[in-house]
Amino acid sequence: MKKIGKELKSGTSKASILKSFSILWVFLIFFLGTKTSLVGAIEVGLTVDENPISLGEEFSIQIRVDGSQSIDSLRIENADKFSLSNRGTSTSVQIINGKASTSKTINYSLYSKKEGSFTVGPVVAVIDGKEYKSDVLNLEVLADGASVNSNPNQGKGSSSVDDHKGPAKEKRDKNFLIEGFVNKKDPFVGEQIIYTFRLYYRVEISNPKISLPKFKDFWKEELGEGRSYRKVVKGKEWKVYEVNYALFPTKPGKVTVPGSTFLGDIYIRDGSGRGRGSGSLFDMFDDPFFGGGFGRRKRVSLRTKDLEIEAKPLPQEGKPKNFSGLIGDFKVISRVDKDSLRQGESTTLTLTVQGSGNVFDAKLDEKEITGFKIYKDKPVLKIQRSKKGVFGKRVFKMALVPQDIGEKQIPAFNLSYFDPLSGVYKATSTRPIMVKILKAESGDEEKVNLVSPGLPQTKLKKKIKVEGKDLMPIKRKVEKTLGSLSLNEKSIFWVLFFMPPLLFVACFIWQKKKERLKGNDALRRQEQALKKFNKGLKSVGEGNNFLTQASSVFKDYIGDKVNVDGKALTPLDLDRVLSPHQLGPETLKEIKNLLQDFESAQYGGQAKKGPREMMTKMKNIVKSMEKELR
Amino acid sequence: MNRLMMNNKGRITFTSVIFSFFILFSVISESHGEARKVRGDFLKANKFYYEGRYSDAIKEYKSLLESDERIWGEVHFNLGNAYFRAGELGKALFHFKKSSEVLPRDGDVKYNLEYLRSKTKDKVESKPFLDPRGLFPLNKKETATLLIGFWVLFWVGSLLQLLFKYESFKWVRNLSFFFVLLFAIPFLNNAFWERDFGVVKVSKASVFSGIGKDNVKLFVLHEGAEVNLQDQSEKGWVRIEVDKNKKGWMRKQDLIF
Repeated sequence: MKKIGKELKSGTSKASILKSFSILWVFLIFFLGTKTSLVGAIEVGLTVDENPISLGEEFSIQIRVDGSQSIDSLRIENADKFSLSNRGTSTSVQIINGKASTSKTINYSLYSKKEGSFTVGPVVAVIDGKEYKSDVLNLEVLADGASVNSNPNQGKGSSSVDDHKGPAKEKRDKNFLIEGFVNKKDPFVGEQIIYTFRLYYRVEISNPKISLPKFKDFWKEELGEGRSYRKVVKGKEWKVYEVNYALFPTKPGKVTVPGSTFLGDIYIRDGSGRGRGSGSLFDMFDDPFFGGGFGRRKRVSLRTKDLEIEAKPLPQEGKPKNFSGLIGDFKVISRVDKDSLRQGESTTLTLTVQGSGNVFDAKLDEKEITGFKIYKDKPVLKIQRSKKGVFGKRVFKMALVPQDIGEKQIPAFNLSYFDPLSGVYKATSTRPIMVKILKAESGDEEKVNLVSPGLPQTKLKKKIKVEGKDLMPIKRKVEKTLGSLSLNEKSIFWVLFFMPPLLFVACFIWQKKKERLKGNDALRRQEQALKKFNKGLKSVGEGNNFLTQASSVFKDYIGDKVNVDGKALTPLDLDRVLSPHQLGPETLKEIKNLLQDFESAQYGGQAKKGPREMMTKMKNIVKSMEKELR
Repeated sequence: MNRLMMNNKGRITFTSVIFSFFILFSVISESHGEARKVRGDFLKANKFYYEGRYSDAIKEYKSLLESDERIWGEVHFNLGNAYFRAGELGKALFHFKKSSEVLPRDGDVKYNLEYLRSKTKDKVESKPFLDPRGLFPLNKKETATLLIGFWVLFWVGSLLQLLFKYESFKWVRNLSFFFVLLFAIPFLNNAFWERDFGVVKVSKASVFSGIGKDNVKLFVLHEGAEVNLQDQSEKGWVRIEVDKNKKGWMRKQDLIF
C-alpha cells in the first residue's frame, strides 16, 4: 500500500515537473523565438537495454529520432522473430548556447520466440516524406542461463525432477527463470506422467501471474497447491515456486503442450556495487518496500518451451480379454467383515483396488457368488496426491446374504493392468475366502424371510435421480370441493354467529332474576301477582260463583302485591295494609269501592254492577296498581 | 266444533307435510340430476384432455366453472393442466392458484404450482412477513366452519358453566375461546385483508407510472408473474403491486384475474 502511494506520488510530481517544463518551453519559444532555432540533422537510432537475452524474457528496445518530433511513419524491419508491443513515447528538448534540439524516443518491449542470433532493424522513419534509417542490432538469444544440465524432457533445461540441480551455470547474472517439463515424453495412453513448472528467483517479485497450458488431449489432476521452498545451487540460494500436475494421455499420437508463461514485476538493483546484506546503513532502503531504494522495477514476461509428447498406444500383444483399463502399478485386496454368520444375517465383502496411476478407472469383473444374494454398493474413490503423482484406491463394497447353510466360498477376483515400466500386461488376484453359514437360531426363522432381505436393501439405498419433471396428472373425480360458503351456508353462519350470544344473554338475565327471587318470598309474590291474577281471571265464569271467584282472585292479587294473606282482606283493613305502600288515593278509593261492591253483592245480595263491569273495573285497578307499585 | 277444527287442522298439517316432502324431493332429485350432469361434463372434459384436445378440454372446464359461480378446486386444477399443455403458462398458473385456494393441502396442486413458478422469468423477492395461508392451510369454507364451530362451542360452554357451574365447562369455554381467536386470524384475513390476485398472461407486459402508455414505463413483467390487484375500477387499466417497491398500472388485457 505504501509502495503504491509512493508511486502515485512520484507520478504526480513527474507530471507537475513536465508541466513546468512545457510552460517554460512555450515561454522560451515566445520570448526568445528570434534568437533560438531548432537545429541539427535528423538521425534515427536503435538501442537495446541488454544483449544477450534469454529465450522468452522480455527486453526493451528504444528508437530515438533526433531533430524532429513529427514522424509520418515508422517501421522496424526483421522484427518478425520477436513478439513486439509498444511501451510509450517520450520527447525531449535541449537548449545549448541558444540553440534548441529536439528528440523523440519510442519504447518497445519484445520477447524472442526462438533462440539464436538475430538481426533486428534497421528502423525506417519517414519524416516529411523522406526516409531515415537506423543501424541494425545484432541480438543473441540464449536458451537460458541455466541450460548446462539440459535434458530433452524439459522446457528450459534441467536434468530431471529428482536430480534437477536448478540453474547450475549462469551465462549472465540472471535473477529469475522458469522451467516446465514432464518426466516422460513418450508415455503410453493412460499412463501417468508428471508435469512440473518451476519459477526460480533471487529478486523480489510482485504481481506474479502464472499461466499453465490447458493440456488438451490429457486428463489432468492437480497435485496439490503450488509449493514454495529454497534451494542452494552452486553456492547461491534460490527461491523456488513449484506446481505439479499428473497428466494421463487420452489418445495416441503426438501432442504439443504449449509453454507455461510467467508475468510479474521484479526489482533490479542498480549496478552501484552495493550488494544486499553488505552491512551498509543504507541496506534498509535497498528494498522494494521503499520503492526500490537503489533499484528499479521491471515488468518481466517469461515463457517456457513448448513440449512435444508422443503418446504410444497400448500393445495388443498379450492384452487380456478382461483388461481393466488400469495403467500403472496396482493390487487388489478382498476381505469380509464376518466369515461365520447365520442365515438371515449379512456380511460385507470389500474389494479394494489400489496403486498409482489411473485408479479412478478401476473396475472389477461381474462375478456371481454361489449361495449368496448380492447387494452392491456404489464404489468409493479415495485419491492421494503428491508431487510424485496420483496414488489411491477404489473400494467396491457388496452385502452378501446367504441363501442356504454350509461352507461357502467367495471366489478370487482378478485384476489385469498394464505396467508401463516393463511395457507388459500383468494380472493380480485376491485369495478365495471361505464363509461358514450356520442355521438361523430358533425363533429367527421368520426373520430370515422377513427381515434379512430388507437389511441390506436399507443399507444400500441409493438416492433417486430425478431425470425429468412434469405436471401432476389431472383429477379424475369431481368432488365439488368448494372453497367458500354458499348463500345458504352464509345465512346459517350468521344465525349461528348471533344466536348463541343472544341465548346466553337471555339465560343470564333469567338466572340473575332467579337468584334475586330466591329467599325473598315477598318479592316473588309481588313479581308473580299479575301472572297469577291473569291466570285466576281465566277460570272466573259468569255464573253464580262469579262474585266468590272474582273477589277471591282480586283479594289474592292485593295480598300477593303487599305480602299479606289476601283472602282475609276486608275494606276496613285496606287503609292499614296499603298505607305503607305508595298507592295513589284514587286507586285506594276504587279498591275500597270494588271490595265493598263485592261484599254487598255477596252477603247483601244487592249487586250494584254487572259482572262485566266489575271485571273491567278490576282489570283497571290491577293496571293502576302495577304502575304505582312498580 | 273443536273436533272439526282439529280435523281441519290435521288435514292442513298432513297436506303441508306431503307438499313439503314433494318440494324437498323435487329439489333433491333436481340437484341429484344436476350433479350427474356435472360429473358427465367433467368426465367429457377429461376425455378431451387425454386425447390431447386441450382447447376443447379448456372450453368444457370453463363452462363447468361458469355454470356454478362457486369455486371448484378440481376443475381449476384440471383447467390449469390443460392451459399448460396448450402452452399458456400464465393462465395455467392462475388456475393452479385458484385451485390451491380451494385445496390448500393438496400435494398435487402445490407441486404443479411450484413447478410452474420455476418456469417463470420474474423473480419476486419479498413475501409477506406473516402469511396466514401458510400458517393455516385451510380454505375459506373450512376456516369459517371451524370458526363458527368453536364460536358455538364457546357459548355453549359459557351457558353450561353459567347454569351448572361445572369446572369442566369452564375449560370447554376457555379452550374454545382460544380456538376462536386462532381461527379469527385467517377468517379476518380472508374477509378483509386479502387482495385479489392476477397473473400476467402475455409474454411481456409493461407496467406504467399512471394510466396510459404515455406515462413512464416502470418495469416489465413476463408471463406467469403474480401480482396483487389494488384498484380495478379504471376502465381497461388496473393498479397492481408486485412487492412493496414495485407498483404501477398495467392493461387489464395483459392479466388474468
